[in-house]
Parts: sequence; C-alpha cells; structure tokens
Amino acid sequence: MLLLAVAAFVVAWALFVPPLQVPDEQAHYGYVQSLVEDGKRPAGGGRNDPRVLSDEEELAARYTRAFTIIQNPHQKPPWSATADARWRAAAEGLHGLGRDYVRNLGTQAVNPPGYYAYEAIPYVLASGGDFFDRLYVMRLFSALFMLVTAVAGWLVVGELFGRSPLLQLAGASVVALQPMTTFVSSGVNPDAAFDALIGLVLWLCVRTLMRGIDWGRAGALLALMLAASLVKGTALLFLPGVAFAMLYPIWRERSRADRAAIARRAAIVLGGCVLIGIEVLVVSRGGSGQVDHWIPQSFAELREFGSYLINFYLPARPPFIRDFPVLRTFPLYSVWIKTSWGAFGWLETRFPDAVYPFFALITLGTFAGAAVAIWRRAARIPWSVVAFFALMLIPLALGLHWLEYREMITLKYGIRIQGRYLLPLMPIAGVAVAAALSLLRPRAREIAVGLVVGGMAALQLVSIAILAGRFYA
Amino acid sequence: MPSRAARVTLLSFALGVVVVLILAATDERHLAFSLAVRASEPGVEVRPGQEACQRDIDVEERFDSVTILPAAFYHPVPRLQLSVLDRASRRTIATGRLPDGHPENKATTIRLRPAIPKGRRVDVCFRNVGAWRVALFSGPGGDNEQSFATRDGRFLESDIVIDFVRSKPRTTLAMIPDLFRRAALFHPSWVGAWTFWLLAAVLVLGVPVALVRAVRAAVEDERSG
Repeated sequence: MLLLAVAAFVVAWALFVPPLQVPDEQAHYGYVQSLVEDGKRPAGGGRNDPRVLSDEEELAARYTRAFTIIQNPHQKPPWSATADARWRAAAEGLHGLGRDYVRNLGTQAVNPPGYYAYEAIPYVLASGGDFFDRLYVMRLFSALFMLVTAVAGWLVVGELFGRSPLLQLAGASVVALQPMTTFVSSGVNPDAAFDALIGLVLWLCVRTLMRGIDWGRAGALLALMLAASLVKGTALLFLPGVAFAMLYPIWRERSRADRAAIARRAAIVLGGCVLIGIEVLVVSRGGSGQVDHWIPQSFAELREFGSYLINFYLPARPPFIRDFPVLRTFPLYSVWIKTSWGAFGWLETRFPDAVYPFFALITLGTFAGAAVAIWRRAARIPWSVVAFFALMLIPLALGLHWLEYREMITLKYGIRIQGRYLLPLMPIAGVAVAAALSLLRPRAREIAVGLVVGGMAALQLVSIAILAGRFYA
Repeated sequence: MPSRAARVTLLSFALGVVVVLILAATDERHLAFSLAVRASEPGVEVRPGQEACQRDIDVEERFDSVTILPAAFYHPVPRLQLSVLDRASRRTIATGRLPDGHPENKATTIRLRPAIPKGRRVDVCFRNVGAWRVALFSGPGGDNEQSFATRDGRFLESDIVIDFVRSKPRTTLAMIPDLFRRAALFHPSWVGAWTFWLLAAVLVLGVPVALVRAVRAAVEDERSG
C-alpha cells in the first residue's frame, strides 16, 4: 500500500516538473543521447568547459526557456500553446536530425555509464517520438528506482525493527515519501539509481551485521556495489562502511574458525573492495578534472581543511581559524538541512524560510531521540550497526567536503555541496525515526506513527504545490 | 473500527490538504506572464525622442499593465509614452504613460488602457518624451525565443526586461485550471491538462486510502504480535 502511494507521487513529480528543471537533467539526457546516437560516452569533464549539447536538445531548451529560468524564481516557462506549437514547427524543421554530436557535457561526462545505459532503453523505446516524448518516458523509467529505494528503506528498518510493523512502516515511509528523494528520482538523474542501490547495500550490510556472514549475501553485496560504482564514483566513499560490515562478523566468529580461514575470508572481502575501487577509477576515468589531488599533501593543507570544516559546521568562527567567507551562512543548516529537506528545481524552489527551523528541530529531535533509545536499549540496535552507519556517513561527508574545499581553493567556487548528496543514506534516517518512536508508550506510538506517515505524505503534497506556484503561477 | 494510528494518518494528511488550499486561496499573483529575460544590465538606452520596442510578443494571458526596470543615470526616470501595437495590423491597441519623477533602478509598473486580451501577438514600445536619457534593463538577445528588441526600428542584440501584469490579482486557487493547462505544454502528446486533474484526484483521494490501509494492516500485525 505504501508503494502505491509512492508510485502516485513519483508519477506526479515526473510529469509535473517542467523539462530540464531537475538538477543537471540536460547533461544527463545528453549523456544518454550520446550513448545511443553517437555510440560512445560524451566528451567533456572539465569544470569550466561550457556544455555543448545536441542541436535538438539546445532547441528544446531555448523554446522552453529551460536555461534562462534556472535558479531564477521570478522567471517562468512559456505558458501559451502558441509557444508549444512554435517549438513543434522548429523541431520538425530538424527532420529527425540534430540528435547526435553532443560535443561537450561538462563535469557529468566523467560519470560512469551504468545509469545512462539503463536510460538508453526508454530513449530507444520512445525514439520514434520527439524530444519531450523521450525525456518524459526516461523520467518515468527513472522513477521506478524510487520504488526500489522505498523497498530498501522498508527492508533496512525491518531488519532492526521487524518485530514492530508499526515502527517499520514509520521508518520506511520516511524513506519512501521524502520529497527531495522523490523529486530527484523522478527526473533524469543518476541519483535515482544510486539511492536505490545504496539503500539495498545498507540493507545487506545491516543484515550481515545482525545475522553473520553468508557468502551468497556477500556475493549479492559485491554485485550491488559494482552496480553502484557503475552509476556514481561516490560509491568509493562507501567502501570503508561495507568493508566493516563484512569484516566485523568474521572477527566476531574468530573463536569458532581457525586463523587461516579467518585470513582467507578477510582477504576475499578486501579483494572485493579493491576490485570495486579499481572499477570506480576505471569507469569514472580516474575522476579526471574533479579534484586536483585526493588527500592533503602537507600538514598545513590538512590544518586548512580542518579550518574549512570548522567554518562549515559551527555557526560562528572561533578565533585564530581561517575565514572562508562563503561559509558564513552556517552551511550545516543552510546546506545540509535546507537542501536535503526541500530545494526543488535547481535549488531555487523552496519552502518559506520560516519553515526550515522546524525541519532542523525535527532532524535534531529525531537523531537525539534515536541516540537516547539506543543508549537505553529501548531500540535494540547493536553498536556495530551504529558504527557501520557512521562509517557510511563520515567518509561520504568528508569526501564531499574535500572536493568542495579543493574547488574553493583552486577554482574560487562557492558552496557546491547539496543536501541531496546525503539522500542515499535516507534509510539511516528511517531507522532513526523508528528508534526515536520506540521511546514512546504503545498508545502514543500509534499516534506518532500516524503523524509520521500522514505528515510525510502531506509534505509531498505541499512540495508539489510549491513547485506549481514556482513554475505555473 | 479504524485504529488510532489510521485516524491520525488521515487527519494529518487532511491537514496538509487544508494547508495547500489555504495557501492557494491566499496567494495572490499580479503576474500575467513574463518574457523570462534575465536583467543583466541597463542595456537598452533610449535618448529623448527615441523609441525602444520589444516586438513579436505572444500574449500568454490577459494583462493591463507592464513592469520595467529603468535606469536614468542618477536622475529620476524621464517621462515615457507606452504603446502596444497589434503585430498583424500594426495598429495601436493600448497606450499608457509614466509621468516624471519615478526613482530609477526600481521595478516600475505602468498602467495600460485598455487591457490586452490573451492570444494576440504584440509589440510593446517605450518612447522617451522626457528631457534626459533612460536605459531599460535587458538581458542577452535570445533570452525570449521569438520576440526581439529594436530602437528606432533597428534590431538590438538584447531583450528588454518586461513583466506583464494585471492590476487585479488572481489567487493561485483560481488559477488551478490554468496551472494544469500550462503544465501540459512541452509534454508528450498523451499528456494533457486532464492528466493533472486525474493525478490530483489520485493524490488527494487515493493516497490517503492507501496509507490508511497500510497503517491499519501494521496496527493489526503489531497487536497480533
């Protein structure tokens, strides 16, 4: 039943969001177009290279004002049927040509091809139609991943709260009805597949930590990680967590196995991790152009990176810490909270500012409640699982911060991190909600679960209404 | 008998629907439509006696005023005479004027009479009838597909920033049919305004039913251990 609700929302998002108004959708579409029409991955990769898309896509973007309205909430797409007819006439003038020759895709060109190969299926299926036929069929195909993400949320929470279907439903609905996840997943964007795959990785890792190592499950985990790394290079940042989830049960069973067997198992796990690491570097072209170097090269640079992190996470800069002026907005709140809860379109379509403090309070309350529940053993989540969650989150955050820090230093960019980069870990938020609710007595818990499930669906509705006001009123 | 959790689910969802309806009923909008031109510089300079026009504009919705962003080089904005011409017949179909004294670099709304109905193609022209120059904020030419700017009949590489507004605002609630019609543009042929009416019905009626059933099933499972 929850999946039915999710399906209704993703179809609404996929069809209601104007064309190319999902982050970087024009580049992701261009990647698929290059794969299908040119038979190769697109050129590009440089941070400052201007994108040169196919003539067909440039034409559609011009007639829909797709690029001029980006991050410009006052500007609207065309509202007249005449504009639509004019585009159709111009598109017919291409006589089916203009789809190939995507000359430069910018940074998205280094993305691995997995998601785009999947999206090539709807592109080909709808290739008899026009640009928008293909774009919207691709969106609907992408939206199918949201159903997988929802199932993954259900499984992760169920692994830890399976004896309480109510808590499982509450936690799963937080994952399944999170508006930003639904919005991004129902556009042409590899985050859709990545969120789904990492959701399943989380489930198998938690299951391994709870039930011990199983080689069939380990094989499935390896396959999922390989698939995830074919979608986004960010998969590399989850390796420490996944390795921990596999190695910890081996270590836990050390008394029941001989040393050679333990060493063999650990070597297999580490070998799998190395394999994934190599695959990421190969398919993402070594991450070319993304960052000038991967780790601090001097103590001074490490100290400066530390200053960047302090600027990012503290509301006020302590004395004797280097000032990063672009971080004076307290990004812990203005980036992580605001843009993970709701920043639609190209980040410009948001709830009223007064709403976000409530989102921050809910986030803080949830994780604080979860911590108390785990500490008091109201929620029986093993510490190994908590450590695993931390090992999934911290390397991801540090990796994103390092990329942004180097861009600030070398390219003088402002804040580029977005809350949606944390969304693959939404099942952890689902677990936190379920854990926090476990502190309540049964009667209050029932009411709270109703509030969470109904509230998340209401949030979806309000989000779509805000989007309608942004683009169509 | 519906469980407590199911009732609260329904109530909180219904509260969301009510919030959306209240927001839509109180959100009043003057904007009839915009050209989506990015205001990058005061790029269309109009000296006394000159006329600048934005031509070949689709009238997407009825409007009776326009808003521009004028710069006057440390002066108040000079008097401007506005005329709206029907693109096909070249006849003036509405006029308006901006008297002396408006502060520069502020969005300035000029009333037109009579109102221009939806569906026409028009030119909007600004004649400087004041004593000093004015520059209209503009964006790169091509920001608005099809329409273009001229000064004294000569083509300019810019588009003038103009918003087309109505003096009497409409609520978003009243615009819902228009919203759905607009959302269906630039879509596959199998999507129309009807699709969004259908989706709205599914979201408002179908989703709560599905969620309530999910919650009820979870409550029953929980109670049966």
